[in-house]
Amino acid sequence: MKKVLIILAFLLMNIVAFSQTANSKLSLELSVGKLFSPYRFYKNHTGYENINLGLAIDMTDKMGISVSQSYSRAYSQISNNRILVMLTSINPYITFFPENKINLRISAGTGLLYFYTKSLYESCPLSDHVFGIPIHGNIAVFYNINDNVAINLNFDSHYSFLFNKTYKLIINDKYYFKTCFNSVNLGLRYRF
Amino acid sequence: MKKALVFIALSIIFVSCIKYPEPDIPAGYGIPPTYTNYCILEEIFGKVKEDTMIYKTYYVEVYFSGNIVKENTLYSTVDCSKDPNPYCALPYEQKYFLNKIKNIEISANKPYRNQTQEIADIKYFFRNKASIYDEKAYFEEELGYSPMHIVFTEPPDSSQNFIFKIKITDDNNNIFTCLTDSVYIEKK
Repeated sequence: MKKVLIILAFLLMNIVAFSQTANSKLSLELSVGKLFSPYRFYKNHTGYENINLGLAIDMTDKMGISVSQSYSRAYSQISNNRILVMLTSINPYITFFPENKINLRISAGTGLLYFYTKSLYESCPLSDHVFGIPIHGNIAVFYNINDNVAINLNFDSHYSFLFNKTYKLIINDKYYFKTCFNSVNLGLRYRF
Repeated sequence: MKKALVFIALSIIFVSCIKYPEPDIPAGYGIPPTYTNYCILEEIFGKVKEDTMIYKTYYVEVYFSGNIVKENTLYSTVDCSKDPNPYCALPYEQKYFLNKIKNIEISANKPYRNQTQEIADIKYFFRNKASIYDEKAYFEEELGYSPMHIVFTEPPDSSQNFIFKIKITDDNNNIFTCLTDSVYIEKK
């Protein structure tokens, strides 16, 4: 866990260093929307709000790298269980039609997924921490209002391989399982 | 371009390592597979096999019921009506109860041994997912699969009818109680 944090810190430092070069442009993105949980172990969870915060650096006109952090919640009526889903990811991206007023950006990457699950039964307060490695994909459409500000519409998906020992009975002694979360967000981008 | 190919190759290798969850007990043709859901306890029920027994063969079955807290969604949604396999059998749910036991008290409705109603000479047998019972000390033990067997190791002072009260306290200080049916225990 410490190693992952150190690697993430170094990557962030590198990104900031890249952002100081003359050609690169730094932009900050904030979007909110809804989470969908359609797959496997969490498929009976109903997704609620999703908040996504991203930092993107254009390395060239068409390519760059983004770091994103998202928070979302989901709830299952069957198990009366609530989960907080936190995804940190680093995603190289390609921008299509950069000279137009409407741009399309496709990115893919990986990072770290963290769940906090909590049973809402008062008689037995169970909670759990689950970690995972996601494969993260994102399609974003930007409408540039001016040189600095754009409205963005995000379609986000992460397919994750989860690790958790407390599920060993459910998954028959294999200490991992996998799930997929999608989200649709609407927000703003500010380019510095 | 090379980087993209390496990324795609690594993704394929990663995805190809996927292992799917398996049922608790491998199922044959027409034999339903079982799968486990995690639950917390709401109620207990005490059952006795017969109404007249000798103490050496007597035991109480304690059944658990409760709510799901972690669901195995893969097997809970199998639908045989959409399966072309003629031997398709609906999976059978097994509930595993996560409550950890702090204390179990068992008492009879009248003096059972040495003129006391509290029963001290007891063995506890916990069921596993293959329906095999193992004797364990209960403290800090999860309730596990239902039912649990409670075996009395000492005979009553005299042959007579008894009703037993079972009281389980979990580590969150929730108390669950139940009464068994009346049973005539022969001292032999």
